[in-house]
Amino acid sequence: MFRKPLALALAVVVTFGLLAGCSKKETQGESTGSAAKEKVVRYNAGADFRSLDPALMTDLTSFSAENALFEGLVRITHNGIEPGAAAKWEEQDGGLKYRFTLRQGLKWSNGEPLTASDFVYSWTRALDPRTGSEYAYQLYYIKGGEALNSVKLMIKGLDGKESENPNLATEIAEAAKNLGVKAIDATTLEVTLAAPTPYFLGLTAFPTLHPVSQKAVESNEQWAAKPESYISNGPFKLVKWEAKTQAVLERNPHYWGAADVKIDQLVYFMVEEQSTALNMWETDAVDIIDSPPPAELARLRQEKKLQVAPSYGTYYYLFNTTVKPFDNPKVRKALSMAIDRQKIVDNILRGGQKPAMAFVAPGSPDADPSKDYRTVGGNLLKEDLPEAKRLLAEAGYPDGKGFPAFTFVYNTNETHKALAEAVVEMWKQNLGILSVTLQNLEWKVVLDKRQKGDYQVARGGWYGDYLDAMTFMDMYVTDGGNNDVFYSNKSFDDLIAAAKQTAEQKVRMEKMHQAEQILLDEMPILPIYHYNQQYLQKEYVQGVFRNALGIIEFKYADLK
Amino acid sequence: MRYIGRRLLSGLFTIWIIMTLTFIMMQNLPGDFFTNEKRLPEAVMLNIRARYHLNDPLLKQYLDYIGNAFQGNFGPSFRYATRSVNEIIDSGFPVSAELGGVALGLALLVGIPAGVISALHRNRGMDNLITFASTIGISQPSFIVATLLSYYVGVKLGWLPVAQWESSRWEHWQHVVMPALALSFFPAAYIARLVRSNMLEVAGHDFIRTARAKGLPRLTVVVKHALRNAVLPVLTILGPMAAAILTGSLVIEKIFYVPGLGGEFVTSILNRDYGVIMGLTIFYAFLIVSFNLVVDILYGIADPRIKLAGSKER
Repeated sequence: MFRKPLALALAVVVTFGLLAGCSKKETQGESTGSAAKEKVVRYNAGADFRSLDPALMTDLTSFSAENALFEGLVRITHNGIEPGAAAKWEEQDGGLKYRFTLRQGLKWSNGEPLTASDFVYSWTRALDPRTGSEYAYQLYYIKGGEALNSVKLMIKGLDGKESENPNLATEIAEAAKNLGVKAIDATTLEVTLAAPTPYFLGLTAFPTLHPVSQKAVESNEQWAAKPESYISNGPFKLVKWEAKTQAVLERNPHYWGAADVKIDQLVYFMVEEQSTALNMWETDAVDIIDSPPPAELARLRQEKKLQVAPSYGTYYYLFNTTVKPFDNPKVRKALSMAIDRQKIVDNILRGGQKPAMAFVAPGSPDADPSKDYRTVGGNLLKEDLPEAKRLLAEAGYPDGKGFPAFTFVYNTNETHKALAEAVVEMWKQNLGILSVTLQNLEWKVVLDKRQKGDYQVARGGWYGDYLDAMTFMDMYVTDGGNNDVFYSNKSFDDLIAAAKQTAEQKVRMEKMHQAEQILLDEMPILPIYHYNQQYLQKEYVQGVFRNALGIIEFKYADLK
Repeated sequence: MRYIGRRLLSGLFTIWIIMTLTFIMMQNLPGDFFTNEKRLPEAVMLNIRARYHLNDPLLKQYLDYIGNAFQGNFGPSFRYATRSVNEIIDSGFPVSAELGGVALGLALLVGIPAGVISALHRNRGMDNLITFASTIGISQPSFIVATLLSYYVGVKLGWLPVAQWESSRWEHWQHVVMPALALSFFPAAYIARLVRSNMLEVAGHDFIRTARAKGLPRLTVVVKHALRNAVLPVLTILGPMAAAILTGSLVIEKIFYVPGLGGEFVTSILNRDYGVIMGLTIFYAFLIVSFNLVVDILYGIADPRIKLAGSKER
C-alpha cells in the first residue's frame, strides 16, 4: 500500500495539514456583537500590541487600546483636558507642586477600590529600573524621578567585570522614598516636580502615568497578557486578546463614568497591510482604519471618504553639521530655500498635509492658551530661489559648481523615496547641484548611522511626546541625546535652559520662539512638512476623538 | 534504524551550525531593538539592556542561549513584551501549517493530473494550454495573484471575505480559500511541469511498451505503471517545497491578514528582535531537516531501487 508514492505524498501532506488545523485551539464565541442591539465599533489598530501594560508600551497601537482600558488623573478629549480619575486639582508653589483630589468611590475593573496610593505605586513602578519601562523618562519631571530610574542594575566590579548590583534593593527603596509623589489620604495625591512644568497636567494623561493594580502586577508577571488577570480602571475592560488577530474590549461597569459610555464593545483588528485594511473597510468588515495606502489618497479624497486630523509631528531632513559642506549654514539655508514644499505636499503626499515653514508643528498652546504656538511663531523659513542661489554662490559654489558629491540616506519606504527624489530634482534644477546619491536603507541602519554621525544628509520624523513646544525644542541642545545633527549654539542652549527654569508661560514661550528662530536661521535640520492623521471612518460612527498626539479616544463614541 | 540515527545526528549538527551562524550575523547588524528615533538616556539604556542580558559578553550570551534552546526555551521577545518566543511559535505555526498544508494539497491535486494530461497530449492543444499556464504560475510573484484575488473576488464580487482568519469552524473555509489558492499557484505549476517531463521520460521505457503490448487499458498503463514512476521526483522535492511554502507564506499572510509565522520571520529581523530571530531560524531549520529526513525515508520505501545506506537488504 505504500508503494504508490503519489498517494503516500498526498496522505502525508493532507494529514499534516489536517492535524495542524485540528490542533488549533478552538476559540469560543464570536467576537463581533451578536446581540441585535449591541453597539460595536471595529477599529483597525494596524499591528498587534507590543504590550498592554501601561508602563511597558511604547507604540501608538498599544496606546490606542490602553486609552480605552485605563484612565489617568486627567483625560484629553474633544473638550481638551477634562477631569479623569482626579475630580479637581490645584497648583501650588508657583507650579512646583500639584495637589490632586481623586473622585470618591473609584474602582478597578474587578470592583476593588482605587486610591491615591495606587498612583504612588504605579509611578514608582514605572520608574523602577527593574520594570524596564522605555517611557519612564516621561516621569522625570517628578522630583527624584530620574534618580530612581537611573539606579544601576549592573555595576562594574574591581576586576572590571559587570555583575548584578548587590545593593539594588536598598538603593531603589532609598530613591523611591525621595520620589515627589505622596498619597496624603485615600483621595489626595500630592506631586512635587523637579522644576516647574506647565504641561505636566496634560502629561498625566499619558499611558506611562496611568495607575496599575498592584494586586494584578504582583499576582502574575504576565498579568497584562491575559484578560483573566487583567485589571484596569478605564471606560472599557479587556475581554479577549488573540495574538496578531484581534482584541475585544467591553464596557466596564465599574468605571465612574460608565453612564457616558455608549458603546458596548470595541474590537481592535491588527491588519498591517494598508491595502488589505482598505479592502476590509470598503467591504464593511471594519469601521475605522488609519493611514490608507498613499496611492489611494487622491481617489479617497475625491470620493470624500478621507478624513484628516492634526498630528503633532514634523517630517524633516538632517544635515550632518560636522562634515563639509554642511558645516556652512549658507549651504544649508540655500538647500532649504530652493525647495517648493507646497508642490511636494500637493503632488506627492496628497493627504492634506501642511508644508513646514518652521520646526514645531501646530497643535500646542502658546502663552495665551487660546492661541497656537505655531501661529504666534509664524513662518521661520522662506522659499526664495534668487536668495538661495546667492547664498550658494557666497558659500563658494556658484550655480552648484564644485559642490561635493554627497549621499542622501532615507529608510525604505515608497513615500520617503518619492519625496527624496523630488527634493533632489529641485536641487538639481534650481541650484545646479548634480552629484547627489540617494540611498535607501533599513530603518535601524539609518538610525544607527545618524547616531554615529556616519551620514551627510538623512531623513527623520519627530512626534511630540506631549503638547508643548519644548518636546521639539530641547532636542537640539549641545550634546542632546537626540541631537543627531551635532548642532551646538550657546545662545540656543541658554534660551532653552531659561525656558526650563520657569513655569511662567509668557517667559517660556518667548524664549522658545527666540530659540526656534536661531535654529531656523542656522538650519541644521530641514523641515519639510507637518504630519497629519489620515483615516477612514464610517458615517455611522460618531464621537471618536483623536488628539494631536495620535491617541484615539473612544469614551464618547456612539453609533448613529 | 542506524540510518535514521545517523541522519538525526547530522541534522542536529546542521541545526547547531545554523544557530551559531545566525547568532553571529544577528549581532553584527547595525542597531538593535532599542535603537529608536527617540534616544533613551545612557543610564536607562544600560539598565534596559541589562534586563535582557544584552550587556553580557557575547560568548556568555551565546552559551546561555544554546543551553536554554536545548531545553526547549527560546526566551522572550522584545517586540511582544508579554509573549515568549515559544508562545509566538505555538500560536503562529498551526496557522501557517494549515495554510501551507492546504496549499500543498491543492498544488498536488491540480499539478499532478495537469502534468499527466499535458504529457499525454504532448505538443497538442491541451499541452500547450497547460504549459502556458504553468509558465505563468512559475514566474509570477505570489502577491500578484493574492492581490488580484483579494480585490476581484473579495471587494468587487463580494463572494469571499477579503481577509482575516476567522477561527470559528463554520466560516473558516471561506477565509482559507483565497490565501491557499494564491499560495498554491507556484507549487502547482512546478509540479505540473515536473510530472510532465518525467512522464514523457518514463513513457519511452521498455516496460511501458510491454504493458501496452499486453493489451492493458490505456488508463491502467498511465496511472498504474507510468505515473507511479514519474511521480517519484515529486516526492523528492516535496520536502524542500513544504519548507519553502511555510517560509514563503509571508506575503500571502500579510495580504490576507493571516496570523501565521511567515511575517514574523521578516519583521523580527527588521526589529532586531533577537529571541524571535533565533527561535524561528532554529524552528525552520528543524522543520527542513525533518522534512528532508521523512522524504528520504519515504522515498526509500516507495522506490524499490533505492537502498538506504545501512538498512538491511529487502
